[in-house]
Amino acid sequence: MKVKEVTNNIRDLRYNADNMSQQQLSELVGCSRQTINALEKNRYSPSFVLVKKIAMVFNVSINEVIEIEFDK
Amino acid sequence: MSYRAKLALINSGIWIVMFVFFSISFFSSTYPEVLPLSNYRTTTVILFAIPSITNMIILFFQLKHEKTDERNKKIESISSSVAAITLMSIVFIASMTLHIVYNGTGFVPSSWLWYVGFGAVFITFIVLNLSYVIVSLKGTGYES
Repeated sequence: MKVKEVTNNIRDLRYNADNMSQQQLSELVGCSRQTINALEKNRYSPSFVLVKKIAMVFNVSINEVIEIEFDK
Repeated sequence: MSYRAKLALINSGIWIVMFVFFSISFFSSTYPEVLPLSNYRTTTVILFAIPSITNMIILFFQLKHEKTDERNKKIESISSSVAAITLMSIVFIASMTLHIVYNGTGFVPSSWLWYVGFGAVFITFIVLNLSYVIVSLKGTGYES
């Protein structure tokens, strides 16, 4: 199974959470601001733990944080 | 560009400059057929010490300014792999070249070993820092 496209909703989730800054989110999940920025630009494949932490911060499911489309 | 990438770029610049000075110093003061002169050795140690000390200072500021997270570790892992392969390639190519060139005479001038040894370390540090900058800017993408 090959990955066709990966998208994430971190920017939207931040916006909906009182326009939370990248810095604030990075402090809450324990990573650098640059990592959040890279994630939003789809330039980094995060670990499962980091995705889970982000989901917990916004109180959403993992599928709402990151969406993966596979080639059929 | 992240703070770490900027520091890596500065670091690679310092290593490149010192490598250029090292090469100029080697080829101007030492004829490859004879042993390096004592002052040449002193020059090399100074040229090698400058980026090494700068490297440690940069590492101190880097750790103080920006925390290490999983992305940094991944980038460091990729750039370390690139640097290790580069080092292996340099040593292999240099050894084979010396072998082919001096095969007829049966011995290799020891000054070349001096240049290859230090040169390999200089180039490895340059590649290590430059690859960090490139991977950091390009991103690691998603694993399939």
